[in-house]
Amino acid sequence: MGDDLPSWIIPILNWMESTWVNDLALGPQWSWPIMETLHFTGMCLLFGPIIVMDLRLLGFDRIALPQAAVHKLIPLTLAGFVINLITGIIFLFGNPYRYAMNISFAIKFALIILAGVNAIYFWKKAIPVLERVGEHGDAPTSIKIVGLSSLLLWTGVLATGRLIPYLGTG
Amino acid sequence: MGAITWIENTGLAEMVRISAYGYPVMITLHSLGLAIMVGLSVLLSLRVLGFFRTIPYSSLQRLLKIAWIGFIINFASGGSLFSANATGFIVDWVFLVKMAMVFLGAILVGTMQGMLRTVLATGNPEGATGTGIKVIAGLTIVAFSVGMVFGRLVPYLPP
Repeated sequence: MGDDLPSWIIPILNWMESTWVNDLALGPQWSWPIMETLHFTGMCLLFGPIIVMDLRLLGFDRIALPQAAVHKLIPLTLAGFVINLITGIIFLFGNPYRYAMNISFAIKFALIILAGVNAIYFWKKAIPVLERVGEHGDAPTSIKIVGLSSLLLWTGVLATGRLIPYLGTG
Repeated sequence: MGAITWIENTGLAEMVRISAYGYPVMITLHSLGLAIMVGLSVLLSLRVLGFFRTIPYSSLQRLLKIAWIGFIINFASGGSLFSANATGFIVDWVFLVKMAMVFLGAILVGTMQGMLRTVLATGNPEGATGTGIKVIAGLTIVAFSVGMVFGRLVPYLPP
Protein backbone atom coordinates (compact mmCIF):
# COMPACT_ATOMS: atom_id res chain seq x y z
CA MET A 1 0.00 0.00 0.00
CA GLY A 2 1.13 3.57 -0.65
CA ASP A 3 3.16 2.88 -3.82
CA ASP A 4 2.00 6.14 -5.44
CA LEU A 5 2.80 8.30 -2.41
CA PRO A 6 5.96 10.45 -2.13
CA SER A 7 8.61 8.64 -0.10
CA TRP A 8 8.95 11.37 2.56
CA ILE A 9 5.38 10.88 3.71
CA ILE A 10 5.68 7.13 4.40
CA PRO A 11 7.49 7.46 7.79
CA ILE A 12 4.89 10.04 8.88
CA LEU A 13 2.02 7.71 7.96
CA ASN A 14 3.73 4.79 9.70
CA TRP A 15 4.27 6.92 12.80
CA MET A 16 0.59 7.93 12.78
CA GLU A 17 -0.38 4.27 12.66
CA SER A 18 1.86 3.50 15.66
CA THR A 19 0.33 6.10 18.02
CA TRP A 20 -2.30 5.67 20.72
CA VAL A 21 -4.66 7.81 18.64
CA ASN A 22 -4.69 5.01 16.06
CA ASP A 23 -5.56 2.53 18.84
CA LEU A 24 -8.32 4.84 20.04
CA ALA A 25 -9.82 5.10 16.55
CA LEU A 26 -9.61 1.42 15.64
CA GLY A 27 -9.51 -0.39 18.99
CA PRO A 28 -12.91 -0.13 20.66
CA GLN A 29 -15.67 -1.39 18.35
CA TRP A 30 -17.79 1.75 18.75
CA SER A 31 -15.03 4.39 18.40
CA TRP A 32 -15.46 4.99 14.68
CA PRO A 33 -19.29 5.35 14.63
CA ILE A 34 -19.19 7.57 17.76
CA MET A 35 -16.56 9.81 16.13
CA GLU A 36 -18.64 9.94 12.94
CA THR A 37 -21.73 10.96 14.89
CA LEU A 38 -19.74 13.69 16.67
CA HIS A 39 -18.36 14.80 13.28
CA PHE A 40 -21.93 15.20 11.99
CA THR A 41 -22.92 17.09 15.16
CA GLY A 42 -19.96 19.43 14.70
CA MET A 43 -20.97 19.88 11.07
CA CYS A 44 -24.47 21.07 12.07
CA LEU A 45 -23.08 23.43 14.75
CA LEU A 46 -20.63 24.87 12.22
CA PHE A 47 -22.97 25.08 9.26
CA GLY A 48 -26.10 26.65 10.82
CA PRO A 49 -24.31 29.81 12.03
CA ILE A 50 -22.29 29.94 8.77
CA ILE A 51 -25.54 30.15 6.78
CA VAL A 52 -26.88 32.94 9.01
CA MET A 53 -23.65 34.98 9.12
CA ASP A 54 -22.90 34.67 5.41
CA LEU A 55 -26.45 35.45 4.30
CA ARG A 56 -26.46 38.51 6.57
CA LEU A 57 -23.17 39.59 5.04
CA LEU A 58 -24.83 39.26 1.63
CA GLY A 59 -27.58 41.61 2.84
CA PHE A 60 -30.25 39.16 4.08
CA ASP A 61 -32.81 40.90 6.35
CA ARG A 62 -30.32 43.69 7.13
CA ILE A 63 -32.95 46.19 8.27
CA ALA A 64 -34.18 43.90 11.08
CA LEU A 65 -31.05 41.89 11.80
CA PRO A 66 -28.06 43.77 13.29
CA GLN A 67 -24.60 42.69 12.11
CA ALA A 68 -23.40 42.38 15.73
CA ALA A 69 -26.25 39.97 16.56
CA VAL A 70 -25.14 37.38 14.01
CA HIS A 71 -21.51 37.74 15.11
CA LYS A 72 -22.66 36.38 18.50
CA LEU A 73 -22.90 33.03 16.67
CA ILE A 74 -19.14 32.87 16.06
CA PRO A 75 -18.40 30.87 19.27
CA LEU A 76 -20.98 28.25 18.22
CA THR A 77 -19.45 27.84 14.78
CA LEU A 78 -15.96 27.67 16.34
CA ALA A 79 -17.19 24.98 18.76
CA GLY A 80 -18.44 22.96 15.77
CA PHE A 81 -15.11 23.48 14.01
CA VAL A 82 -13.09 22.33 17.05
CA ILE A 83 -15.25 19.19 17.47
CA ASN A 84 -14.67 18.38 13.81
CA LEU A 85 -10.97 19.18 13.92
CA ILE A 86 -10.46 16.78 16.86
CA THR A 87 -12.63 13.97 15.46
CA GLY A 88 -11.14 14.56 11.99
CA ILE A 89 -7.58 14.21 13.32
CA ILE A 90 -8.60 10.96 15.05
CA PHE A 91 -9.94 9.66 11.69
CA LEU A 92 -6.64 10.63 10.03
CA PHE A 93 -4.57 8.77 12.62
CA GLY A 94 -6.97 5.82 12.41
CA ASN A 95 -6.40 5.28 8.72
CA PRO A 96 -3.57 7.54 7.48
CA TYR A 97 -2.83 5.66 4.24
CA ARG A 98 -6.47 5.80 3.17
CA TYR A 99 -6.68 9.58 3.53
CA ALA A 100 -3.21 10.25 2.09
CA MET A 101 -4.28 8.52 -1.13
CA ASN A 102 -7.82 9.89 -1.32
CA ILE A 103 -8.49 12.64 -3.86
CA SER A 104 -11.73 13.73 -2.18
CA PHE A 105 -9.91 14.20 1.13
CA ALA A 106 -7.14 16.19 -0.62
CA ILE A 107 -9.75 18.56 -2.10
CA LYS A 108 -11.57 18.78 1.25
CA PHE A 109 -8.31 19.67 3.01
CA ALA A 110 -7.51 22.37 0.41
CA LEU A 111 -11.02 23.82 0.77
CA ILE A 112 -10.67 23.96 4.59
CA ILE A 113 -7.40 25.89 4.19
CA LEU A 114 -9.10 28.31 1.76
CA ALA A 115 -12.09 28.67 4.11
CA GLY A 116 -9.65 29.40 6.95
CA VAL A 117 -7.83 32.06 4.93
CA ASN A 118 -11.24 33.51 4.00
CA ALA A 119 -12.25 33.60 7.69
CA ILE A 120 -9.00 35.36 8.66
CA TYR A 121 -9.55 37.87 5.85
CA PHE A 122 -13.08 38.43 7.18
CA TRP A 123 -11.76 39.00 10.70
CA LYS A 124 -8.91 41.33 9.70
CA LYS A 125 -10.38 43.23 6.73
CA ALA A 126 -14.16 42.82 6.65
CA ILE A 127 -15.03 43.54 10.29
CA PRO A 128 -13.49 47.08 10.23
CA VAL A 129 -15.44 47.81 7.02
CA LEU A 130 -18.65 46.48 8.58
CA GLU A 131 -18.08 48.72 11.60
CA ARG A 132 -17.93 51.71 9.23
CA VAL A 133 -21.13 50.81 7.35
CA GLY A 134 -23.00 50.40 10.67
CA GLU A 135 -25.22 47.72 12.26
CA HIS A 136 -27.79 47.73 9.47
CA GLY A 137 -25.66 49.03 6.62
CA ASP A 138 -25.14 47.29 3.30
CA ALA A 139 -21.68 45.77 2.92
CA PRO A 140 -19.66 46.71 -0.19
CA THR A 141 -19.39 44.07 -2.93
CA SER A 142 -15.77 43.25 -2.00
CA ILE A 143 -17.00 42.17 1.46
CA LYS A 144 -20.05 40.34 0.13
CA ILE A 145 -17.69 38.19 -1.92
CA VAL A 146 -16.15 37.03 1.40
CA GLY A 147 -19.60 35.86 2.55
CA LEU A 148 -20.39 34.10 -0.72
CA SER A 149 -16.96 32.44 -0.75
CA SER A 150 -17.44 31.18 2.80
CA LEU A 151 -20.84 29.68 1.95
CA LEU A 152 -19.51 27.95 -1.17
CA LEU A 153 -16.25 26.78 0.46
CA TRP A 154 -17.99 25.20 3.47
CA THR A 155 -20.56 23.54 1.21
CA GLY A 156 -17.62 22.15 -0.76
CA VAL A 157 -15.95 20.94 2.46
CA LEU A 158 -19.15 19.14 3.44
CA ALA A 159 -19.64 17.55 0.01
CA THR A 160 -16.03 16.41 -0.50
CA GLY A 161 -15.99 15.08 3.07
CA ARG A 162 -19.06 12.95 2.45
CA LEU A 163 -17.63 11.73 -0.85
CA ILE A 164 -14.37 10.38 0.69
CA PRO A 165 -15.64 6.76 0.68
CA TYR A 166 -16.74 7.00 -2.95
CA LEU A 167 -14.11 9.01 -4.81
CA GLY A 168 -10.59 7.88 -5.50
CA THR A 169 -8.65 5.12 -3.82
CA GLY A 170 -8.43 4.04 -0.23
CA MET B 1 -45.19 -5.26 1.66
CA GLY B 2 -46.46 -4.96 -1.93
CA ALA B 3 -45.94 -1.18 -2.04
CA ILE B 4 -42.48 -1.46 -0.49
CA THR B 5 -41.41 -4.06 -3.05
CA TRP B 6 -42.81 -1.81 -5.80
CA ILE B 7 -40.72 1.14 -4.50
CA GLU B 8 -37.63 -1.04 -4.58
CA ASN B 9 -38.31 -1.92 -8.23
CA THR B 10 -38.73 1.65 -9.50
CA GLY B 11 -36.25 3.18 -11.93
CA LEU B 12 -35.11 5.61 -9.22
CA ALA B 13 -34.25 2.75 -6.84
CA GLU B 14 -32.35 1.00 -9.60
CA MET B 15 -30.44 4.18 -10.45
CA VAL B 16 -29.34 4.61 -6.80
CA ARG B 17 -28.34 0.93 -6.56
CA ILE B 18 -26.54 0.54 -9.86
CA SER B 19 -25.27 3.90 -11.14
CA ALA B 20 -21.78 4.83 -9.96
CA TYR B 21 -23.01 8.33 -9.06
CA GLY B 22 -26.55 7.68 -7.79
CA TYR B 23 -25.74 6.69 -4.21
CA PRO B 24 -22.81 9.13 -3.60
CA VAL B 25 -24.79 12.08 -4.98
CA MET B 26 -27.87 11.27 -2.88
CA ILE B 27 -25.89 10.65 0.32
CA THR B 28 -24.00 13.95 -0.18
CA LEU B 29 -27.24 15.88 -0.71
CA HIS B 30 -28.58 14.14 2.42
CA SER B 31 -25.65 15.50 4.50
CA LEU B 32 -26.11 18.99 3.08
CA GLY B 33 -29.85 18.96 3.84
CA LEU B 34 -29.09 17.69 7.35
CA ALA B 35 -26.63 20.51 8.02
CA ILE B 36 -29.13 23.11 6.79
CA MET B 37 -32.26 21.75 8.52
CA VAL B 38 -30.69 20.74 11.85
CA GLY B 39 -28.19 23.61 11.91
CA LEU B 40 -30.89 26.27 11.57
CA SER B 41 -33.48 24.47 13.73
CA VAL B 42 -30.97 24.22 16.57
CA LEU B 43 -30.34 27.98 16.29
CA LEU B 44 -34.08 28.68 16.56
CA SER B 45 -34.32 26.32 19.55
CA LEU B 46 -31.35 27.95 21.29
CA ARG B 47 -32.90 31.38 20.70
CA VAL B 48 -36.18 30.21 22.29
CA LEU B 49 -34.14 28.80 25.21
CA GLY B 50 -32.68 32.25 25.83
CA PHE B 51 -29.44 32.38 23.84
CA PHE B 52 -28.61 34.96 21.14
CA ARG B 53 -31.33 37.34 22.31
CA THR B 54 -30.17 40.09 19.95
CA ILE B 55 -31.30 38.03 16.93
CA PRO B 56 -34.95 38.98 16.30
CA TYR B 57 -37.53 36.18 15.96
CA SER B 58 -38.74 37.75 12.71
CA SER B 59 -35.30 37.16 11.14
CA LEU B 60 -35.24 33.58 12.41
CA GLN B 61 -38.67 32.94 10.93
CA ARG B 62 -37.34 34.03 7.55
CA LEU B 63 -34.20 31.90 7.98
CA LEU B 64 -36.32 28.88 8.85
CA LYS B 65 -37.72 28.94 5.31
CA ILE B 66 -34.22 27.87 4.28
CA ALA B 67 -34.34 25.13 6.93
CA TRP B 68 -37.44 23.72 5.24
CA ILE B 69 -35.60 23.74 1.91
CA GLY B 70 -33.03 21.54 3.69
CA PHE B 71 -35.87 19.30 4.86
CA ILE B 72 -37.20 18.97 1.30
CA ILE B 73 -33.68 18.13 0.03
CA ASN B 74 -33.53 15.38 2.65
CA PHE B 75 -37.02 14.09 2.00
CA ALA B 76 -36.13 13.69 -1.69
CA SER B 77 -32.57 12.36 -1.24
CA GLY B 78 -33.61 10.19 1.73
CA GLY B 79 -36.55 8.85 -0.28
CA SER B 80 -34.22 7.78 -3.09
CA LEU B 81 -31.77 6.16 -0.66
CA PHE B 82 -34.69 4.38 1.01
CA SER B 83 -36.03 3.14 -2.33
CA ALA B 84 -32.73 1.43 -3.16
CA ASN B 85 -33.21 -0.98 -0.23
CA ALA B 86 -36.83 -0.38 0.82
CA THR B 87 -37.60 -3.94 1.96
CA GLY B 88 -34.46 -3.89 4.14
CA PHE B 89 -34.99 -0.45 5.69
CA ILE B 90 -38.68 -0.97 6.48
CA VAL B 91 -37.86 -3.78 8.94
CA ASP B 92 -34.71 -2.14 10.39
CA TRP B 93 -35.54 -0.83 13.88
CA VAL B 94 -32.51 1.52 13.89
CA PHE B 95 -33.77 3.16 10.69
CA LEU B 96 -37.34 3.33 12.02
CA VAL B 97 -36.20 5.07 15.24
CA LYS B 98 -34.25 7.54 13.11
CA MET B 99 -37.28 8.28 10.94
CA ALA B 100 -39.58 8.70 13.95
CA MET B 101 -37.11 11.18 15.51
CA VAL B 102 -36.63 13.14 12.28
CA PHE B 103 -40.37 13.55 11.72
CA LEU B 104 -40.91 14.37 15.42
CA GLY B 105 -38.19 17.03 15.17
CA ALA B 106 -39.77 18.51 12.04
CA ILE B 107 -43.24 18.59 13.68
CA LEU B 108 -41.75 20.29 16.76
CA VAL B 109 -40.01 22.94 14.63
CA GLY B 110 -43.27 23.57 12.75
CA THR B 111 -45.14 23.86 16.06
CA MET B 112 -42.57 26.28 17.45
CA GLN B 113 -42.83 28.41 14.31
CA GLY B 114 -46.63 28.43 14.55
CA MET B 115 -46.48 29.59 18.18
CA LEU B 116 -43.96 32.30 17.27
CA ARG B 117 -46.13 33.45 14.37
CA THR B 118 -49.10 33.87 16.73
CA VAL B 119 -47.01 35.83 19.22
CA LEU B 120 -45.40 38.03 16.55
CA ALA B 121 -48.88 38.79 15.12
CA THR B 122 -49.84 40.36 18.46
CA GLY B 123 -47.03 42.87 17.93
CA ASN B 124 -44.92 41.50 20.78
CA PRO B 125 -41.54 40.50 19.36
CA GLU B 126 -40.36 39.05 22.67
CA GLY B 127 -43.54 37.36 23.86
CA ALA B 128 -42.51 33.80 23.11
CA THR B 129 -40.88 33.06 26.44
CA GLY B 130 -43.42 30.68 27.97
CA THR B 131 -42.43 27.32 29.41
CA GLY B 132 -44.36 25.41 26.72
CA ILE B 133 -42.33 26.69 23.80
CA LYS B 134 -39.08 26.21 25.74
CA VAL B 135 -39.95 22.55 26.32
CA ILE B 136 -40.63 22.20 22.58
CA ALA B 137 -37.27 23.86 21.82
CA GLY B 138 -35.44 21.43 24.13
CA LEU B 139 -37.27 18.43 22.66
CA THR B 140 -36.40 19.61 19.13
CA ILE B 141 -32.67 19.46 19.95
CA VAL B 142 -33.12 16.04 21.60
CA ALA B 143 -35.18 14.62 18.71
CA PHE B 144 -32.75 15.76 16.01
CA SER B 145 -29.72 14.61 18.04
CA VAL B 146 -31.18 11.14 18.61
CA GLY B 147 -32.29 11.02 14.95
CA MET B 148 -28.77 11.90 13.81
CA VAL B 149 -27.15 9.30 16.13
CA PHE B 150 -29.47 6.54 14.90
CA GLY B 151 -29.14 7.66 11.28
CA ARG B 152 -25.37 7.35 11.52
CA LEU B 153 -25.68 3.98 13.23
CA VAL B 154 -27.88 2.40 10.53
CA PRO B 155 -24.83 0.87 8.76
CA TYR B 156 -23.32 -0.33 12.06
CA LEU B 157 -26.13 -1.79 14.19
CA PRO B 158 -27.75 -5.09 13.18
CA PRO B 159 -31.27 -4.52 11.81
